[in-house]
Parts: sequence; C-alpha cells; structure tokens
Amino acid sequence: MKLEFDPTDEKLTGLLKAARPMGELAPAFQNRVWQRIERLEQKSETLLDRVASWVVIPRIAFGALAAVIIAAATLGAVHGASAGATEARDRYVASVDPAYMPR
Amino acid sequence: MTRSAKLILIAAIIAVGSAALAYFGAMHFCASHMASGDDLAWLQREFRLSDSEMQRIRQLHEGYLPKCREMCGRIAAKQNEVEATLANGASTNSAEQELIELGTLRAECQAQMLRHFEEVSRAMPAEQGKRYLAEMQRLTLGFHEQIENSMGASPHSGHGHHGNP
Repeated sequence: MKLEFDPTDEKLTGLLKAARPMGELAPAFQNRVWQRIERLEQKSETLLDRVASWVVIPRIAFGALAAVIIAAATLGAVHGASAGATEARDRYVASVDPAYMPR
Repeated sequence: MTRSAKLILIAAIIAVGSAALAYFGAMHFCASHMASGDDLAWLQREFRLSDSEMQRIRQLHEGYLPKCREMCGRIAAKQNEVEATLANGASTNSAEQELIELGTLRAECQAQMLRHFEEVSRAMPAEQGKRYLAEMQRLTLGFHEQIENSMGASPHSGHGHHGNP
C-alpha cells in the first residue's frame, strides 16, 4: 500500500493543523533564547581559555615577555654582581693572607 | 590537550627560555665585570677610592708582599722541621719547642698582616678605612676564631674544655 502526502488535500491539512496546534510565541522569546545561549557560552570559558585569549594578543604577549626578561636580567645582574664582588674580594684577601680560605 | 592549554604551554616555554637566557647572560656579564682587574681592583670599587688613594695603597701592597712571602717561607721551613722532628721520634720536649716556634712565627705573620691592614686603612678616608679594617679582621682573624669557637662549643669533639664543677 502506497501512502503519499498531498499538500493540496485541504481536509488532511486541516486535520494536521488541528492535531498539532502552534501557539503564539511569548513576547521577547527570541531574546531570552539568545541570553540563555550566551550564559552557557560564558560558563564554558575556563581560566585557561581566558589566559590563552590574552596570550594571542601581541600587545599583551610582548609586554609580558619584556617584563619577564627585564625581571630575570635584573635578578641575574644582582646575583652576578654579588658573585663577582665576592670573587674579587677573595682574590684580594688571598693575596695578603695565603692561609685564607674562601667560604 | 586543549588548544588553550597548548597555547599557554608554548608561551610558558618561550617565557622560561627567554628568562633563563636573560638571567644567565646578565649574571655572567656582571660577574665577569665585577671580578675583572687585578688583586686590588676590589678595594677601589668596594671602598670607592680615588686614583691617588689607590696609588698609595698599591705601594703599600707591593711593599707588603715580599715580607709576606718571606714569612710564608719561614713558616713552611719551620713546618718541615716539626714534621722531621716528629718523624725522627725525637723527645717530646724538642717537638714542643719546634711547635712553639711555629706558633710564634704564625702569630708574627698575623701581626705583620694586621699592621699592613692598619696602614692600608689609614690611606683610605676615615669611614672607609674603619670599614676596611673591620672587614679584613673578620675575614682573616675571624676565620681562626670561628674554628676555635666551634672546637670549644662541640661536646663530642674531644677538644672541649673540662672545667671544674
């Protein structure tokens, strides 16, 4: 048996409409749907995603890299100056006191 | 691994690598700069001495070195004598006498060194000279004091002083 839907069959169309009534959409229905989608998207963004989004911004990435390099170089310079001064001091003291042992 | 995690990992590797390069580069540069120069370079930097003050100190230093070398030679010779005396199984009295002479030579050497430090300190501005003298005494004589204190403080060393109760 072959059943075919005939869109011109007004009787059948009328019955279908009656069986699945389409109510009126509530006011601002679409806005509420978008707001829900937005909220879901916001919840799914983790801290990792936020940091990653900063990393790809060149201004922020280069700024942070420059800050890290300056801080590391400053720390290295302070440690190096201290180590160099200690080495030079030990050399002087050893020149006047052969028994001196650097600590 | 998510895309965000990969991005952060790459950024962290770049940051750590650059920081390590900057740290070690700056450290090496500053260490070699500070340690450069002759034995007296540290004095000029540390005590902010003028060229004329350094010239005077250099003269004192060069005058002191032959005396120091001579004293070191005498101490080494006496040390050899002590070792020979002990090895020959000579009497305790003669070994004691050698040890006293060795100790006296070491004390003379330290006294000569102190006199040199005082001379050098007088060639510096008063405040710096005071600081220099304190620093040299701490570094040279303080080292021996530390050893003596540690020997006196340790109850298990076997060298503690056993006073009367």
